[in-house]
Amino acid sequence: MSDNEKKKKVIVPIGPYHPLLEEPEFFALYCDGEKVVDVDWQPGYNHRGIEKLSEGKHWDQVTFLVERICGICSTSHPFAYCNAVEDLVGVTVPERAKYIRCIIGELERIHSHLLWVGLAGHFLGYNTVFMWAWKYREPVLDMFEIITGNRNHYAMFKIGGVRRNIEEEDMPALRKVLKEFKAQLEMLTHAVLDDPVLGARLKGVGVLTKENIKDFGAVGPVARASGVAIDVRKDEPYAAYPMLDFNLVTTDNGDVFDKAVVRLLELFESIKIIEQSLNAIEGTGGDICAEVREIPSGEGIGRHEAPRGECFHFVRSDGTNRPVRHKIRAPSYTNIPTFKASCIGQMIPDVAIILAGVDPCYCCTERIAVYDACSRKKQMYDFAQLVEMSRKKTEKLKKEI
Amino acid sequence: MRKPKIRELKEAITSLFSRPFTTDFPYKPASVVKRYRGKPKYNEDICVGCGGCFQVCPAKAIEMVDDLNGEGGPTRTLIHHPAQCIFCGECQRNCITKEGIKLTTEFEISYFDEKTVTDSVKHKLLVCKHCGEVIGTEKHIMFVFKKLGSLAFSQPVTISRLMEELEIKGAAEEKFLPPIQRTDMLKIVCPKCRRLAFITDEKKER
Repeated sequence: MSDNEKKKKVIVPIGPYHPLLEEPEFFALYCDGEKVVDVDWQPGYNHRGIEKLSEGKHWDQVTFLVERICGICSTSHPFAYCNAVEDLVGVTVPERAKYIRCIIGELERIHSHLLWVGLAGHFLGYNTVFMWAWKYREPVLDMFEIITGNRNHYAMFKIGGVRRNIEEEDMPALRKVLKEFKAQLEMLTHAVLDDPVLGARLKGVGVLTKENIKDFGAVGPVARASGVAIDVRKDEPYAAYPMLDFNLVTTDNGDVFDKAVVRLLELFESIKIIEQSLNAIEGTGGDICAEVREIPSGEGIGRHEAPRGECFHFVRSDGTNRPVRHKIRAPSYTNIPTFKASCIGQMIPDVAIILAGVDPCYCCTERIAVYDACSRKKQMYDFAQLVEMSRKKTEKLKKEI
Repeated sequence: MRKPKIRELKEAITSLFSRPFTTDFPYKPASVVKRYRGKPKYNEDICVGCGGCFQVCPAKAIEMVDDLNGEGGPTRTLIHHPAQCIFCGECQRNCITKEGIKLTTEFEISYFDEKTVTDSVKHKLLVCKHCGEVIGTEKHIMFVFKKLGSLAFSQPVTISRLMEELEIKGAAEEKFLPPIQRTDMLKIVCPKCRRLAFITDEKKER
């Protein structure tokens, strides 16, 4: 689009303040009436300098630092970081630690995906879905508290293993929660997927084709919803994943509805993984951590399939007790630019759910302003108004169906 | 079309008659699990003041203040600031005495005045009698002495300190007569001064 054409359009900026996730972002939507014709994305606000901070911490302390990059996927970053350092050191992680790592990673996927389902329902005006999903999420967080001592920020990961053991006495409680959760999840999944209004509202919205995914390099559930079967757990198995039996969930349409389907069905796979891991470690003792005395000089790469996609960490060591370089790439960094493909041609009320469909942090849409380039008139929308627009559209559909 | 409605209705009715998920927290004390990671607390009897927790804290929530000119001799204070604390448990894991600092299950740490929630522990410091450099806390030296057993007798500082503790008159009691000389090695001196004493010959020349 030429600059002259851009001037004629109404610009809807979304962002930039976004206090939660690692990628605060700013979107400017170029609108023709209610239709979005172009999207501009400007990342880089609220730079926290995590990579630089990491260079000033000991190898052991960095796990706590990277854990705090994101509050929701707070075990993916330590997981990837530990994979990277273990790649550099060449240490073998004890079997039990591998399974415990998988349990924590999958429990996190469960709570992260449930959080997404709840918020997606909230944006669409389905507050019951929001309440239910978050209610079912609560026992999962309680499990985290019992196993690790905190609902979030589990502080479980350590170079060479895990910090805490899963005690035998906690296993029955964990199994009970999983069993109850499975029944509730089945109910929720069917309730969401059978709903005619949700289907009408979400099918064909924000479609990403296979080519789009490959062009933008999108990862995780976003890519799997478009039929691209990429998953680090399968492609480059790490921890205990090669010893576990689970399926990769893929769908073909690539719209927001399919992203919901992928996420909901993935939860069943996660439950399967946790059950298998629990069976594997129950009654068997063993070390939970290998001793790592020294980090030699060299480079290491670690990857982990976070709830949002592949999380990548690179570390370089010069033989001292601190990393000299630590590079982090979180999945949202590649997923967010796909808005360029999915938002164009959509209506403003749909944009909220398309942005949410990728599962970045929702606070990025905290503030919205509509600029009329010709008259220099500015109209501010806040996030509530955007959600309100989205809900109104659902209401309208409900009446029609 | 009909089936999902019944299923949801069932869940709705169960939810209607079940207890609310929220708790009456401010009115009733909330229950926490056994392994909950709450506010760390120093055990004054066990802590030796080595400062290990200060060094390993990733969030720099533990402050170490060495007051050399305080009344009643030099002291070291370790202060834990809950506002910076990330409750990772590194201080507990790396404590040389294992129980000097421990995470409690206490979680109500909101405050108007930070002093009401900070936890601190104070120790007497042992300083070099020649240059005034910090050697360590008195308890730490004794902890090392007990840990080393008979090997500790090769360490002049620990043995001199023990003699002081037992009120035995030894080389440590004698005053320093400048310049530093060989016999001063047996007094309570920092490693740097001991090296200096070692290379000084009888003619008091280096």
